[in-house]
Amino acid sequence: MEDVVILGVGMHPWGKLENKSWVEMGTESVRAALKDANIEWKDLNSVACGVYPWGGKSGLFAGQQLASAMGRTGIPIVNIYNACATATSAFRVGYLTVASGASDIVLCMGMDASPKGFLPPQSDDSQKDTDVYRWKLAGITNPAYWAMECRKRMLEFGTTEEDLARAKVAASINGALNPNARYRRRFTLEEVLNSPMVCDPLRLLEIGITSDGAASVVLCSSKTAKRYTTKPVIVAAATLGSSIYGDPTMALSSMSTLSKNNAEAPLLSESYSACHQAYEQAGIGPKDLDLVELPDNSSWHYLQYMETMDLCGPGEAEGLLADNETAIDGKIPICPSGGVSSFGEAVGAQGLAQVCEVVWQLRGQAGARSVKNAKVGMTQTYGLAGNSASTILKV
Amino acid sequence: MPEEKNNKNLVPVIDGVFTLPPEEVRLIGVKCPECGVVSFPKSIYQHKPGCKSITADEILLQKKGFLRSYTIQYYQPPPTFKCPEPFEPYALGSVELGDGIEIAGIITGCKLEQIKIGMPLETTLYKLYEDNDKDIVTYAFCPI
Repeated sequence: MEDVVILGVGMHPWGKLENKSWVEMGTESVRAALKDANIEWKDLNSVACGVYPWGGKSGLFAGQQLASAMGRTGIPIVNIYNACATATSAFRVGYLTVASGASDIVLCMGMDASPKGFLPPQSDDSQKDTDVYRWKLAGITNPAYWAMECRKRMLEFGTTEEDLARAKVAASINGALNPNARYRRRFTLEEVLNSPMVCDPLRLLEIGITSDGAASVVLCSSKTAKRYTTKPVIVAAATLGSSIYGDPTMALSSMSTLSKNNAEAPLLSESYSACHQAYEQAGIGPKDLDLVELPDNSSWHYLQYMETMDLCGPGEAEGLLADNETAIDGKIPICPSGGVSSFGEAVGAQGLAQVCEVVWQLRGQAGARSVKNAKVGMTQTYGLAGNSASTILKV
Repeated sequence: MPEEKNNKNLVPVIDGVFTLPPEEVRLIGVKCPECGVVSFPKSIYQHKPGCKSITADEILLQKKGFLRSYTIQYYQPPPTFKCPEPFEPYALGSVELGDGIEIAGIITGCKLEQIKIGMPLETTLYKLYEDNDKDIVTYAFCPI
């Protein structure tokens, strides 16, 4: 297996862009990554591209659309879809392509322009599309699932409304320092607590909105990287996980689960799996991390993922957050980019935005939100149907 | 919703998910005879890793259970969900129906403020909308 490094990264700022197509956003992020890597489009040997899920047939061929815009060169292009873990999964495909020796310089990219409001079902036919059940039978939106898990957590650990609001406040402090974030101001505890309730106990400002965005990463072998840079970022791990039988999570799109007493696997088992594989692959533990980009789709996720990813023990996340230990200068910086909270989620691109952030942090290029002496960072995204993907990067 | 209503006009919003009057209203799941896993609805079935059985037997879930979690949804979900108009916030819950299985569904038959974790509930029907002379119904849980 070849050692794999990141040669360059690039991002189109996140936002809600009425006048730009997803392909335009994508090509902008590609050009930014190529420039950062000091290479040309023609130098790429392979492309791993996240599917654009709202683009009908053409969205399934997002990579080919991009190649068409950049100039068709006949190289292998694979399109990947793993819901919100799409972009990190594309990263893993790119990583394996280089690690195996199949291709030397690979582009991983994702772009998205997500619909506003609740992410809707994509068909009407429950026979063909089992996601339709939860819609037709009960109208269970994604935040409703998260709210029900959140309420279970409140019952078990005494999580308060203030704890939930604090996650938003903490993320917004970082987002305010990030020119690529969609929301670039600090929110106060009062503002968050006064925002409308969406799915009790989760309020509007405690749930990640949907966004448009694009991000690209260029990977290559450590050998080849020497031609282009003296400071590559090393990919210590790139993993994928799926759900484990016995997980008590009422997962997105499902209508049943095992009750906690009968659980045989951890909550959010797909993420547990991806992250523990990552620690094993990198040969490190959570204590070795200098920063973590986790998928804070809601305040519940912010707290729960700290435990699922073994950053703290059960019930400890609330206290760490309240003591500012998840701040940029805290014991374990969480989402120094500002997270989904400040970006909104661009489903097909989010995971690569996380990778961009960790790369900038490790290179000391994160400006005012730089984590001091950052040497090792971790990313993780999870998606509907039991997908999770994780990376550990180091210098 | 009373189960004594004129049953001829009750149409389930999706077939094969729950039984209708004059039978007792219960949810239809499947249970694997080998690994014992109970799945609901039937189409989203699971087996334990290593189970050799490729089929599972249709079963009726227990009618009664307890509320393990809930949320109140304040914004109307997008189509394909159709509900009584004008939209009013409604409760969704996770209900333990024996055998260690929890089911997600609408909570009905009480004020939102009365919903408490641990409250006993039973399976019932809930009218989503009318289609000519038919009542399109889903399943829900109401206080016993």
